[in-house]
Amino acid sequence: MKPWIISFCCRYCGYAGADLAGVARIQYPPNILIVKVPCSGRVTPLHVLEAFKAGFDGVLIVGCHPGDCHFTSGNTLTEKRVKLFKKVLDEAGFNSCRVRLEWVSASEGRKFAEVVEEFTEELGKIPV
Amino acid sequence: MKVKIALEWLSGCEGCEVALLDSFNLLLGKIQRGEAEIVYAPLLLDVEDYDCADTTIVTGSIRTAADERRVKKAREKSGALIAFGSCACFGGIHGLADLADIGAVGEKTGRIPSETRLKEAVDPVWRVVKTDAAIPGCPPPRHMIDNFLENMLSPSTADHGKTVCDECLRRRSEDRKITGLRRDLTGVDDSRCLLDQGIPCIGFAVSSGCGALCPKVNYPCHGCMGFSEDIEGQDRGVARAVSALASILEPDVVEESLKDPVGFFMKFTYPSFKLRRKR
Repeated sequence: MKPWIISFCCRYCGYAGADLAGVARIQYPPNILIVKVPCSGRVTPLHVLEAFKAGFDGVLIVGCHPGDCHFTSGNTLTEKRVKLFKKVLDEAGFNSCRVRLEWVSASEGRKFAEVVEEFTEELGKIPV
Repeated sequence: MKVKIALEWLSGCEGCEVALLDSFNLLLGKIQRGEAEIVYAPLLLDVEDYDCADTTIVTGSIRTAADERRVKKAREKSGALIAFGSCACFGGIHGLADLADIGAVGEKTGRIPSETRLKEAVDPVWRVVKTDAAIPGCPPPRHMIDNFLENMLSPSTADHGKTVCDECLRRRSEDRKITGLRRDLTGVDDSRCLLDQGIPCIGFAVSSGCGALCPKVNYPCHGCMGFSEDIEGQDRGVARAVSALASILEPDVVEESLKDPVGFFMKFTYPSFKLRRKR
C-alpha cells in the first residue's frame, strides 16, 4: 500500500484521538500503521531514521497540544528534536516533508482523520 | 612466518600515510627481524602488482571508478582488510562535495580523464567490500597506529562506550541551556565547555580515542573519530546527536542557531548517512 505511513501516537492524546476516530467511524486512508508510545517525547530522530530505513514513506508523530502534555514537557522536547532533524534531512538532500509533527487531543478524532488524509495526499505528490 | 602487508590508497589527502610513516619504526623493526614484509605500497615501493597479502591497509574513500576497482582487487587478494582513517571508515570530508551538483564538481576540477571519472557519490569502503576492522581518525591517533602495528591484525578500534567529552577536561555546567550557537572562536574561556559557551562542538556524540586533542587547544571537536556506533551504523549516531543537541537548545533558537547542519553533524560521515542525496 502506497504511501506507507508509520504514526507514533502518544498514549494520552494522539492515540485516544485515533481511537475516537475509529469509534466514531470516521473514514480515513488505511495505509497507516499506528504505534502507541507513552509520550511523544519518547519519539526521537532515531525512530524516524529507522522507520525510513525500514521502508516507510512517511512518519507522522502525534502528540498533545503544547501545554497539555501529561509529562509537562515531552511534546516540546519532541518539537525541538523534530525541527532540528528536519533541517538536517533537508540539507542532506532528503525531503523533510516526509516527517510530520501534529498536535491532536483526545477529543479530536475528526482532526486525526483529516491529518492522515492530508499527509497521504501530500506524500503522493513527492517522488519516491 | 612473515606477515605480508599491503598498503592501498584510494581518494584521500595522504595524511593517513604520513601518520602511518610516523610510526614506521615499529614496522621497520619487524621487517628487520623477518617477521613482516611489505608486498605492495604505492607510497614506498615501485611494485605494480602483488599476488596476495595477509593484511591490507586501505586509506581514502571510494571517489572514482578506479578506486572501486582497486578496493575490490585488494579484497580478493588479502586475508584481512583494514579501513584506516576517517575517509576509509566513513567516507570522509570530501563526501561533502556530494551536497553540490556533480556537474559543479566537474567544473571546478576541470576535464577529468575517464579512468578517474567521479562516481555519482562518495562511498566509504564498507559499502563496496567487507572490512575486517576499522581505525578511524583524521589521521588516526598515534597510540592507535602503534597498537595496530604492534599487534598486527588485531587493531584496537575506537571505544564505542566513551565519547570525546569523557576525555575532555573542560568544566561543564550541570543544567545546560544553550541560547545560541556561534562560529567565531574569539574570546573563548580556556576552562569552560565549548558547547556551554555556544561553540558548536560535537564531542558529546563522538567516539573517544584521540584524547580530546581539539578541545584541548580551544578548538571544537569535528567528529573525525566517528559516532559511538559501528562504521555501518553511523547514521544512527547522527540521529542520536541531533536528538541530544536539540534537547539542550532553547525552543526559539533550534532552527536558526545551526548555520551548517550537515557540516556540523556529518563532516566526516555524510557518505555513511543512508538518507543522503541520491542522484
